[in-house]
Amino acid sequence: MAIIETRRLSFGYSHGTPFEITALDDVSFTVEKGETVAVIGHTGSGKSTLMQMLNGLLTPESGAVLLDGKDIRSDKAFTRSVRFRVGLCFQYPEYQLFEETCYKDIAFGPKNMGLGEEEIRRRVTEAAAIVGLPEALLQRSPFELSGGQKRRCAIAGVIAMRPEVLILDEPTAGLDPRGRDDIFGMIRSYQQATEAAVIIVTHSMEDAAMLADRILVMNRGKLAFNGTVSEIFRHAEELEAIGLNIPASTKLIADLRRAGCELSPDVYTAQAAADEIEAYLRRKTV
Amino acid sequence: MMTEDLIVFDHVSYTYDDEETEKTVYALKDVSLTVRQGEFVVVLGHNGSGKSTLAKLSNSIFLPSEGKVFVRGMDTSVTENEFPIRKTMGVVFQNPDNQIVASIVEEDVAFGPENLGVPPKEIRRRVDEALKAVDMYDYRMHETHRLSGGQKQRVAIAGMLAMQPECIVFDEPTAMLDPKGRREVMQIIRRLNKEQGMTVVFITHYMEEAVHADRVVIVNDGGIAADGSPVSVFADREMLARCGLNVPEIAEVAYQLRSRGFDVPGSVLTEEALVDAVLRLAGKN
Repeated sequence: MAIIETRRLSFGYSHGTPFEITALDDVSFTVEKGETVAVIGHTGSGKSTLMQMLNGLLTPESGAVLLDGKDIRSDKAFTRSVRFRVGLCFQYPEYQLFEETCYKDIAFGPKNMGLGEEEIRRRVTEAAAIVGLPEALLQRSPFELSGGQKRRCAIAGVIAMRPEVLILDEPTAGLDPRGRDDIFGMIRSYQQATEAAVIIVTHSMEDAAMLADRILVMNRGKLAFNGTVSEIFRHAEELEAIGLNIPASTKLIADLRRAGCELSPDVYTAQAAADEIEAYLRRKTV
Repeated sequence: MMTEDLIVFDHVSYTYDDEETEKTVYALKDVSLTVRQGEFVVVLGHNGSGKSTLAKLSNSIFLPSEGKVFVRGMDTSVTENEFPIRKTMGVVFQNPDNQIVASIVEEDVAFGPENLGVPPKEIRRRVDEALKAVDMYDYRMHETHRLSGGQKQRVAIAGMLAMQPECIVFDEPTAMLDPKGRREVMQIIRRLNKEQGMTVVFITHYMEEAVHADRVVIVNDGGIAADGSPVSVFADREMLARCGLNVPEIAEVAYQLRSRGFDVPGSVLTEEALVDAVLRLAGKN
């Protein structure tokens, strides 16, 4: 059964003012246990509004969010438990660090869950290990850490709640390729340890292709596409039309196809593009 | 010619003390580099490589621990030079929200020249011109906090232009932007360089942004690992891997095809060039 399901979600901002916008318009999808889903869309497409709805920070104007088959708004106690079971990590989470020490910052979530000292300690140690934050740093102030370490600390704070659904909004923003690979490694190891569903919001089709089983494309508050990575990339032209960057290799193949080369459009890495072009050229020159 | 050298790093090191280990750490070590007038230099390096330190040294926000930095021949470590150096060298940083000071777009752009004591009429002229240069003139009366990230960053660039510097250092100006914002900002910067002859030092870790530069400098471990044309720098795959950087994706496809025996020239870094090369190999043009 799906761990998260949304049914016809709609939401708008600034009603009755000239700045009125429909942020979400009739959005329905499901996410299975253990699945990794990437949510893609340009700025203002409704991704962040959608994420904030999944753990009850925003209430939909119509429609519902279901966790494990139950409406997250069905009763107060359940709504509260959803905050821990659906862990939301915002963009640039390092700006939200606030405690005296990294340990206390990571422990903040588990503490609010009402866990005992011993269990909190276990959670913090486990989360720090998953994100690769050395034990020695836990007693330091989070503000003394490097940028990369700060982000790890902030992500650990969400992981320490052991959410069944882990949502990360642009977790690799501002990072170089090495930093990005590190973050993706962490997400995978958390998922392997817990079978959690992971929802990752990104601008990058490359990142989505690398990490996700399935991609949801948002455009102007609507769910424009919902499919596997290869299903989504078959719509290269439509994706470009709504302002998304498709991988350079996918674009290359699409342009060669337009120029009359018989190539499979199912390409989104440099390796696959080279394979496809090689096969094509060998066919041509035989 | 001496007069063409806009920025000169002469055996520059920059150190700080690590409180934990009480050791002196080199953010930059013995770096020598010259940026000439009118150049478009891209500086690439992973996080922590020392590339931002380079930016801050270039307009005397940081002063070198060893060696000298000269801007138009002016030593950055001489206090009296600070003001003329900051008029010569503008810096645009990563986070657009940290660089906007006023609530209305044109007021924000006017902030710099006002502080330079430029007469009001001249300020008006410069503000209009700068906003037109970044395609934000139609937004001149808009509130800054309602702009998108890419628009804010363009306003920050206009604020710099209104001060009429000779060179702008961009310190990862696109890192916090979405693909559309990134394209807009890149387009403006390239235009400033090509059409107005603005000297540009562009610091980034997006390899794709480097392929159109005149020159690419790779910074790693506080030193310069490579300095040359994009074609020559991106050909050295071992060096890039050592520096934790990837080859631009199109260059990677071209390399793979080349290593499988296809005649794809090493100068192919852009999509258009690779499409042409493949079509030629397929006998289509």
